[in-house]
Amino acid sequence: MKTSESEIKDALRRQADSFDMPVEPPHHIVATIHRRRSRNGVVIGLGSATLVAIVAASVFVSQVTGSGTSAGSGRAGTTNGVAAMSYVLLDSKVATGEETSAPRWLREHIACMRNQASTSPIQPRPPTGGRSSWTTRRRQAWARPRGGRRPSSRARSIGLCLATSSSGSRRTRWTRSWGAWPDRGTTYPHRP
Amino acid sequence: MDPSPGLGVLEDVKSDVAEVGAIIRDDFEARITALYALHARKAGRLAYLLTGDPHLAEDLAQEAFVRLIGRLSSIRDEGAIASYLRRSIVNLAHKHWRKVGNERRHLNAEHVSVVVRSASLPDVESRDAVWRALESLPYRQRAAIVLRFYEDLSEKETARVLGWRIGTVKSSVSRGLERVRKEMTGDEDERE
Repeated sequence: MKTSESEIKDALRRQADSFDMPVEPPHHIVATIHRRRSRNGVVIGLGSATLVAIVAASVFVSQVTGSGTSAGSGRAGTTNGVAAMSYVLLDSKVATGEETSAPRWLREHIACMRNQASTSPIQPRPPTGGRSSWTTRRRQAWARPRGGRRPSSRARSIGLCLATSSSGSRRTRWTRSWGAWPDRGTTYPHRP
Repeated sequence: MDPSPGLGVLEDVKSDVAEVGAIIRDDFEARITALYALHARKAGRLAYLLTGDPHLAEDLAQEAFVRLIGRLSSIRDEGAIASYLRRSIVNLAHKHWRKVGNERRHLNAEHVSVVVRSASLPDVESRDAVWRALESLPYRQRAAIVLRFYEDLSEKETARVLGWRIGTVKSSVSRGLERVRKEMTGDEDERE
């Protein structure tokens, strides 16, 4: 049988039609809007002490969940941090129905956290095992002791790569200085 | 004579500013809500076709909206919003599959047995054979086919969305279709 393009189109449409999602904006999008607005200076009814506490909680939760602030993964930590801290700060007031100065999105976030808390405690993320970024690898490479001149701080700060420096590749410079290129797995306590 | 005529005016100005701020805020939220209602389902469906996982598809669609919110002020043409979302979804799906690949490679290197999670139901007769074949495609071929046949994009537009050359799109679609046909033939042989 030869599957025609129209059959594939139909299959894709059927499958797409079987997927449905709620069209009300979900809570975390609303929270993001408010957070971004807060960052732009229109802070809504939060004291500076509360904000400091929230930032501290965000950092803590980022570490617990493994969602750091690098590589664009800070959002989860911040969101959870805001929710965790606000939960501690405002839960009692919200539970009693007392009027608080907390903005609506924060109160909604607490309600959301309360629902989640019973079923899904925060779990550390598994290691991704992925390759680190080029910059990270360069920085780690600089930190490793190796023969030759230590690069200047400027060279390190701009991540100047040894392999592409004008003095030749690492292999060329090694061979020029020490003779044969070492076999894989050879270790030297210091310079050979 | 009123001893502080200026203070009253200041209060008026303050309340006017607060009122205008509230209107802008409400207007912004209303716009987001309207955009979400208009585009969310389509974005979610595209994400579903690219990942095969309904829960992940919802997450990707929401993440795409979070990205959109950050850029909303710089998007002048309302028609560009759909393109922006489409591209975001494709990039996010690509990021997801790259992460999955990294995790799998890491686990293989550590000699941990990898349990491949089935995104959809393990199926049964009711499942679409063409869709099953499409699900088995590598991400690049699948993305090219979905954009060409579900989104009805031209080869040039598909290339732009994926950031590939037109020739790469053509070959990916062609290889993908060939593989789908082969899978289908295989299924039929098994049935016989």
